[in-house]
This record gives sequence, structure tokens and C-alpha cells, in this order.
Amino acid sequence: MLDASDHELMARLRNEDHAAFTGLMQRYQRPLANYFRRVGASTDVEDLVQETFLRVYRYRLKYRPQARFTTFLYTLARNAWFDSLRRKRTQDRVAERVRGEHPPPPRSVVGPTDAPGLDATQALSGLDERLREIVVLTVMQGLSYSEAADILRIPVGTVKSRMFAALHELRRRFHEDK
Amino acid sequence: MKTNNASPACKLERELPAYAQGELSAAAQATLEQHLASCPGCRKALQEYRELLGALRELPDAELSPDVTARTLNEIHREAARRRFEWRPFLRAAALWILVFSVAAIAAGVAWTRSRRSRSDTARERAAQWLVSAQLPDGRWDVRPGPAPSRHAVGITALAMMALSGERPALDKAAYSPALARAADYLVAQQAPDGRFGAVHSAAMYNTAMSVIALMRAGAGETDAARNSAAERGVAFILATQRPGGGWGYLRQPEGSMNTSITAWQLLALMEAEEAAGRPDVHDAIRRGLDWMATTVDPKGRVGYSAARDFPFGYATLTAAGALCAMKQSAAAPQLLDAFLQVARETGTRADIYQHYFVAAALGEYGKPDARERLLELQCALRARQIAAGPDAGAWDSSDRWSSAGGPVYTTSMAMMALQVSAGGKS
Repeated sequence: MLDASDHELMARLRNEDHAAFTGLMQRYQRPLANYFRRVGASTDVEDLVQETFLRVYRYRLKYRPQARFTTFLYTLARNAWFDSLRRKRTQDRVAERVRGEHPPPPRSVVGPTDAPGLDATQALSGLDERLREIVVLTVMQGLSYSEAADILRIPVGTVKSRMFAALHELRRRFHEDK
Repeated sequence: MKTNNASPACKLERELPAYAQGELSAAAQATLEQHLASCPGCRKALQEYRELLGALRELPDAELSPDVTARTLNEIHREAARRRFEWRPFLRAAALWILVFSVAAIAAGVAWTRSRRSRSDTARERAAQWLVSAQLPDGRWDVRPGPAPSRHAVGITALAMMALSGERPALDKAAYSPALARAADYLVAQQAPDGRFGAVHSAAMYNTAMSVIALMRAGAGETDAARNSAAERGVAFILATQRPGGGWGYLRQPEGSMNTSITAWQLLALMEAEEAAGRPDVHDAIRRGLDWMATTVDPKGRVGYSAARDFPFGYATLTAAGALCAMKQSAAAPQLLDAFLQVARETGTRADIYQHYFVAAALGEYGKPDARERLLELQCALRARQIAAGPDAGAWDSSDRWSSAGGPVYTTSMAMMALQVSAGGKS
């Protein structure tokens, strides 16, 4: 199981091989949890991981192995994350009777770090949502620019320019803090 | 986004993050390395970017309880039990055979059931027969008969197809198959290379969305490669014309120009694609469209045309259409639902048929008992407006605001679709 490729495991899942599905979950539950935590999820990280795998299961017959499995997985994860944000916004609106306001970015989105001289946690959580997403996908999840472009459905050039904007901004804050 | 305007001290500094992440081509890398040798500013920046990347990579893992896998599997077993038909192909085949025998049994009992058929079925049957008789020799339906298609021919043909495809049971639908097939061929022939249906004019976005829905519904359960691929290309056109703000607007208008009327139709087409053809890739576009639409909702829950409180044609139909789209994705805000229910209560017999259709469709999606009663009242009012005798018996007249432009095929198709809605079910 450990040696099987993602495509092989998905092919077996199409035939209702639930052991293959367990293999996929064990392989990707940690990266997915990190993804959700770093884009801003707080208490509901595990629910989001579970929701993403449920979507993988629901779409198993539609899955085409032309693209990388991780592109498929993170596309579903991102949809699950935005759906949860939208639900939360609706709840917030009802609770606060405030229309059209987006929830403020969470104070801490990534957990503490011991890296000397730089509070990456705080710096990342202050980034614009679109820039943070690029950093999370390409730096923390280790995806290539072209894969991030496929997931976000933007040109590779835009990934590159947003990545520069993100690091430029982080570096500026780093200098301000010193 | 102000951070996108970051201006580096040196032009090539923009390349440094991609270089540090190994994303530059060999040529670009060589150029940059040459530059680095002579630019202390970029060397310093590169060092700092590398430190930043290193610190970001070293962030600790999120906490995860050990039973996530087991809980997910449990949930999947529960879901699989609920949806066994879907994941057991042989059961599906068995279900198909049962369906075939049921249809045969129904056919045997047609003479008996005909006498007991509800008024709604009779009204729809007469409407369907009128529609079939109104189809033109080239397969299209149009505002009025004539050799030259009007600019609305594509949209009207698509609406008539949607109405005929909605006829159930399958027994009736089969009777309309030849008409549907000719219409589908007409639509496929009207598709431009970019996926759009019909010419570029003010109706193009409506024509394309309606054609996508019509081809998908008419092709449901059939495997016609040309129709399926035309529908797919239509979906691609819709995705490609989505504005950065998330909505859609008239072609050839500025990117910031969006309206909820066109957006609602594009969303309905994308939802059809997601549901009927299993397209998870359109989910993101649907979400962005709904998010934009949410910005047009005022505090009273009414949907505006291009922004909140923008009501050039009133808010009733747009609120119903917005509620329909949002409810289909379980994303309707409470105030939108309240406003829609108010619209539904106030929709009277004098309202245009376009509004009747969207209110009926949204009531069906809402599906609660009080909505069912209101839906039946609306359908009763619609049946009362059907032409009872003469050459156009079975059609609806075209005297209201929109139908005077669309003609009786448009009116009749919208009325049929409103009558096809059942409370708590799809149209």
C-alpha cells in the first residue's frame, strides 16, 4: 500500500477498495490538516479534512488520472474551505446582523514557531488572503507553481508575481519588526 | 491588492522567489546568476528570501487526532449505504430493467390513467403538443415563423427544449424525442468556435446558458458525442467569460459591468453541468458567482441588478432567481429567503410569466409545506391563463413585458417549466 502511486490507489478506490482509500487518507491527512490550519482554519481543521476526503470519495468515478492527484485533492480541499467560510459568513451575518462584512483574518493561523528572528506565524496571518494561499500551496505544501496555477485556475505568471508580492511583503514586515 | 504593487529596488529582484524555489527556466536562471554576481542588493535579498522560506517551511504540523481516518471511513460507509444505487453498477442495471418493466406496465395502463390524469398534466400535454406543432422546419423555435432566425431564436429554441425535456414520465418524453433531436442539431450548428451559442449580441450570454442547460437535459441518459461536446464547450465559454469580480455581464462591456440576471442563468447552467455531468471544476466558478451575487443583496434581502438597491426592473424576479441559485447550493442567507418568500406571497396573476417561472422554481427548491401551497396556487393561476381554443390552443399568450419580445413559444415554455415544478423536487 505504501508503495502504490496515488493514481493506483484512486483506481482501486473506483472499485470500492476501501483499503486503498485508507492508504490515501493516511498519506494526505497530515498535509491537508496543515493546509487548512495555514490558510486560516482554527477549530474545524479535522472536519475540513474529513469533508475533503468525503468529496474525494464522491468524485472517485469522475476522477481522471491525466492531472496529478494532488491537484484534484487540493481543488476539493479549497472548495471545502471556501464553502465553510461562506457558511460561517452567513452565520456571522445572522448573529451580528451585519451585512456584507467578511470575517477578519484569524489572529494566528499557523501555530507557534521557534525560527529565530522571525515570527512567521504572525507575518503569514497578516498577509492578504490571495497571497497567503499561494505561500501555503507552494512553500508549505511543496506544490510546483504550475500545479498551484491549476488549483487556483490562474496563469503560472500570476502565481509567480503573487509569490514575489507575498515574500516582498513578509520581508518588509520583518525589517519593520527589527 | 496593494502588495501586488510592491516595487523592488532592482528589476530582477522579482525573479528571486521563483529562483529560490527552483521555478526558473535554465536560461532565466543563468541570467539571474550572472546578475547576482554583480548585484549585492539582490544577493542580500536572496539570502533573506531563503531565510523566510526556511522559516515558513519549519512551522510545526497541525494537531490531528488519530481517529480521523476511522471517522471518515465510518461516514463513507453510512453514505455508501444511503447511495448504494450509485456505486453498484449491477444494481443500477437491475434498476434500469425494473424501470423498463414499469414503463411497460404504465403503457398498459395508459388508457385507464388518462381518465384520471390531473389538470396539470393535461395543461402540460396540450402545451407540449402546441410546442411540437410550432417547431420550424430547420429545427428551431422562434419569436414568430419565418425563414430568417431572429436574434432570440437560439434562446427560444433552448427554452422550448428545456420545457419538452422536463416532461415526465419517460413515455411522454419519448414522444417528443424527434423534435428534441432536431432542435439539438440546430443548436449545435449555431455554436461558434469559442463555445458561444449564436451571434455576439445582447442575448448571447442568455443564449449560451440556456443552450447548455437544454443540451444537457435533452442529452441526459444518452450518449450523443456532438451534443455532449457542444455542451462542454458552452460550459468552457461560460467559465472563460466570468468576470474577475465573480459575476457575468453583457459581452463587450467593461469587466466591472456585471448583472444578476445574466449571472443567474450562467450559474444555473454551471450547476446543471456540475450535477448532470459531474464537473467538480466548475464548483469554484459557482462559488465566486454566488459570492458576487451576495454583494447585490440589500439589508432587506432583495437582490439588485448590478449592485444592492439597484432595481431598474424591480426586484421580484431577481430575488426569486437569486434565491433559486443560492438554495441549490445550500447558500441562501436568511434575509434572502425571507425576501423571496415575501415576493412569492405577492406574486399575483398579473405578474409576467418570467417571474412566475422563477418564483415557482424557487418555491420548489424551498420545498417547505407552506411553499407547496403557494406553488399550487401559482400553477392554478397559470393554467387559467392558458389559451383554451383556436389555432393556439395549449399555448400562453404573449402580452406581458418580456413575452411580447419572446413570442408565444417563449411564454409557453416558461409556463410549462413552472407547471413542471413540484414542491420539494426539481423542475
